[in-house]
Amino acid sequence: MRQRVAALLVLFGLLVGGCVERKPTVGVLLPLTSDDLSGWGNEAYEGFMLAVEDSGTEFQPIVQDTGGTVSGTIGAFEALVRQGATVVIGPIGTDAAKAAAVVARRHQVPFLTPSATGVEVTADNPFAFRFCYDDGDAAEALAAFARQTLDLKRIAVVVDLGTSYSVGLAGAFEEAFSRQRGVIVAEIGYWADDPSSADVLDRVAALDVDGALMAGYGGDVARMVRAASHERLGELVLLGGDGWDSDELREILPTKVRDAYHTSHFHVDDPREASVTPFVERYTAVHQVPPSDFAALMYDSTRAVLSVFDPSLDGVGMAKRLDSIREWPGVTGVISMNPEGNPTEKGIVLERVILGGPSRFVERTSR
Amino acid sequence: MPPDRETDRSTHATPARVVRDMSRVLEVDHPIDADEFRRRYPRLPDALKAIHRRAERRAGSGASTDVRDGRHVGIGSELDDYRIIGEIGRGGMGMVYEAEQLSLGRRVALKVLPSGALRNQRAVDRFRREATAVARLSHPRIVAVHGFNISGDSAYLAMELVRGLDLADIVDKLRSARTHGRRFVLISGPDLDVDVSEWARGRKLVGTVPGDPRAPEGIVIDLRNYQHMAASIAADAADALRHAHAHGIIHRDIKPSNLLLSENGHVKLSDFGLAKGIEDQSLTKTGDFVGSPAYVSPEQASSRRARIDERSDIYSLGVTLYELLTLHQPFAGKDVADALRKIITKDPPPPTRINPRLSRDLETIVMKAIEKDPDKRYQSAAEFGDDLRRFLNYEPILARPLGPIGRLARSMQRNRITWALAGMGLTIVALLAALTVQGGSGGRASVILQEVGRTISDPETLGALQSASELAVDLSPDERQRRILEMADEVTRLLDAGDLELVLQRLRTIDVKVALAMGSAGAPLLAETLRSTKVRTVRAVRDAIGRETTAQGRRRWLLALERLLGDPDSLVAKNAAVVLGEVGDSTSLGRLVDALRERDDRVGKVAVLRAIAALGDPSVAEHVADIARSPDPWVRFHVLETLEALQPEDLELLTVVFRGDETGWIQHRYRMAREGDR
Ligand SMILES: Nc1ncnc2c1ncn2[C@@H]1O[C@H](COP(=O)(O)OP(=O)(O)O)[C@@H](O)[C@H]1O
Ligand SMILES: [Mg+2]
Repeated sequence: MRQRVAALLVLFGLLVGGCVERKPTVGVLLPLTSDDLSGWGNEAYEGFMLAVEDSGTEFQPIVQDTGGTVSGTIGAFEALVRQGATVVIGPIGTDAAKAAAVVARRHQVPFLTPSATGVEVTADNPFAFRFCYDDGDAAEALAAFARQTLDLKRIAVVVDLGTSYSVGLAGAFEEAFSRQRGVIVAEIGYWADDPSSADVLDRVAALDVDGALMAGYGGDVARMVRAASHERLGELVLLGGDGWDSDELREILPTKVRDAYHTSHFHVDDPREASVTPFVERYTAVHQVPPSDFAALMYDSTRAVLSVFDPSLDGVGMAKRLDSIREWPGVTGVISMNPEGNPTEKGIVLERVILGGPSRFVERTSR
Repeated sequence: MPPDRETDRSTHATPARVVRDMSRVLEVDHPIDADEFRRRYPRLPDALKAIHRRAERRAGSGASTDVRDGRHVGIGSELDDYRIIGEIGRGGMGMVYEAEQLSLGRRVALKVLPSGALRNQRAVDRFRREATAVARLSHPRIVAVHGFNISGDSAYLAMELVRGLDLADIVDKLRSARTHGRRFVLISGPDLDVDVSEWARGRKLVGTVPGDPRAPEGIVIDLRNYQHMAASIAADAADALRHAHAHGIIHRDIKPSNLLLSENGHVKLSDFGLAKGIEDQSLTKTGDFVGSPAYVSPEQASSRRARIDERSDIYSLGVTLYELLTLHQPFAGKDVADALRKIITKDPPPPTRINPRLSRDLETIVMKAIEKDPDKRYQSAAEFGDDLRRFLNYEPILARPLGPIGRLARSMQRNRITWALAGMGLTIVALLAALTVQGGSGGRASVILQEVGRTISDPETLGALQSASELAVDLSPDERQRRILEMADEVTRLLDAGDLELVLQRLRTIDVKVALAMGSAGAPLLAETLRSTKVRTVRAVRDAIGRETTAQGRRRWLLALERLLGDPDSLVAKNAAVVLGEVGDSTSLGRLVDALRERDDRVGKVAVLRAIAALGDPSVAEHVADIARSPDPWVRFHVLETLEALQPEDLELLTVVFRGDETGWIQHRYRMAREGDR
């Protein structure tokens, strides 16, 4: 799949860079070849392709690979602008989206990130938009669920110090949980690529806690869970954010801990929307697997951008179009943009990780 | 002007110099201010005092009066119902005596206009004005007037006697105490019997010696709480002004020597000799300069028929507070004209630069009060006083500090580059130049850079400046941005290669380069591209510290880390805080607190509070107090979490913050913290 994407990129590059002169177009920024995020990037890419197909347009947006780095994102965004993009879909991670926000402002070309949840991403920037809830909302929902539904009182928070996403989610959860009279017993920081992070979960289990929020990405959390051996581990409830979307983690977790829950953006069993089912069926028919969060969010984002795209407008004009999105029916929820560039009333899905199967839909909380 | 130099000057004061000084004073047609003269020459030998008197006499025909002209009012002599008991002070207007009001048997302060001055219509007007102005006022923070008389050959004003010192005296004492490096200042009297806990609050100050109102047993000022005392004095004075303004009176001569500190630590405003009605603008003609030069507002100093209103008093009180806090006058000049010029054109150094222990909030308040543009000051004495009280109550203040960009923009407006170069941090200098680059031509930029270059001795930085100036002048914005990305990538490569020393060196100068090349627009881009590299660098430093075997070696790495923390991104600040909580010390944490104090960075602030708790070093407690005033409840919440790491006395201080905290969940945690203490 990766080769296919790379070939497409080259093709687009030739087409656009070679002969088309700055014709207003739609750009796409995804991490397609990096190690860390390319799994999600490629899922998102599948969602993008399906959306282009569904929109029935001949028109092909330009895709640029960010390489999963900040400077790659900046370079790729710049390239899109040179190629005439007046609106950009992506990138998917918070760190990349924060960088994109700087470039977007500089060139006055708006971007719509399907999935970057960092609160700062859209702050004070008329050219930054997103199609998902932010970490503050997710943390609020997760903390309420932990306190009220699960009745957890004492929690440790484990945070990946290397990513804005994890630090933002952890901080927001700690505040929300404290406000609900829960006790944050400790915050334990780790760096994903630091070997000493292996014993983090054993350190958590040694504390007087009911459970822990593991605010990092699923792959890293899976590694920590695998390495842990503390006897109290089986008593703990682990919580996670949307970064937990990892098969590896889903496999290992139920064998080690009492229970595990995480937030997400989309679940195939979400009974909320009639539109969900046809999307899931079509996607599954093409890819043999059900759509992930990233596929679904990118599907929505792409369809929305294509529906408002107008080649006669410049970046400022496109920002206004994005601004004016109201009651737009997506598979991940109905979307109305607020003045900050965030969707209002996007529900937060809670999933329970269970043994031997995909995570189970628990509830969708509105905020 | 630093006090040491001032003392120096008086030691070397020759008669000729004093005369020259005085004549400069006289050139600007204004009443001689004996207070100022005394302060300038505190150790003036008697011979020189004679010259002073002569100078004053020369001025007598002008705006001022000659205090020694005519019959001297002797001790024991009587003026109507008053018997003179002793001399209290001397001002530009006349002598102030302690006197007994015979009919009522009470002690009063009697301000006597010398008989010679009665021929000077202006002096008489001024005197009358003072009496009639104060007579309209009645306020505990304003010296009350008991009686007034102008007749024949005598004129006097009887007022409430304030036993204590005026603030000019206090500042003098503090200056000399500071040169001797004392922490507690005993102003006079060896045997003090005052409740120490009261002093620590900066309130209870004086005991008296019977018979000598000017020599109280002593005033003790605990310098640890000095800024609170100063703020509460200023708040009291603001109350007085609020009252006067409400009655339509502008004081126009607010300065330390006109604020009398009473025994119970409260201040009283006196000397309404220059006061006038808000609506009455007739007396101010062009060039009719009133007030004491150091404290007059820019609108008074330029005196171009500018409407002088309540906000001029706010300004002068701001300058007074500035001086109390720093013991420096913000606009000390070599003569009156110079001082006035500075008042109109110069930005004063921020108080924390002179006294780094001052709270940023208090600094923000002072700087707002002394804004040159009256519209940017507090608009009323009430606003000013309220903000001071907020500070005193550990509540968030309303005034907002001018960020570095704002400060620069303002200084750019007035085109005062040299000022910025003189003492500000390098980054600021770079930003300044960058702003110029953005707004102006390359040629102008290089002139500024030359100027910048002269002030920088560090060759590393100088090199960076040079290459940056090339960037700035010659390249298109796109090209500049590409260079930034390249520079950032290079740092990342160096880090990958494990060359930590070089990485740290590059990171130190890269901000400057980018700021110069791209101005403020470059900073966010750089922050984004370098964030993860900086995080990794912080980690690498931690590992390096772990490998060090000597304390000295560890300290060296910490220092390198501190130098990275000039303007940290919140993720970088968080990482630095975590690492410092593990391997740092109070100095390095203090540095981080400094970097974060003015910023709206809850992640960084919470992290640094956790680190302080982790380190358990009580010497950082002061920094906690600074953060404690954050308007962000989540930050305040963490101050609580930090409490346990602190000493009990500081704990008390912080308790003030939380007792009144309205936020329910903070109260909840607060109670848990208190119970946990027991
Ligand atoms: N009511 C008072 N009680 C005690 N001391 C006073 C009083 N009024 C003035 N003084 C002292 O006398 C000095 C000069 O008085 P002030 O009213 O300021 O006169 P001037 O107008 O001459 O400056 C003050 O600085 C203060 O030290
Ligand atoms: Mg006076």
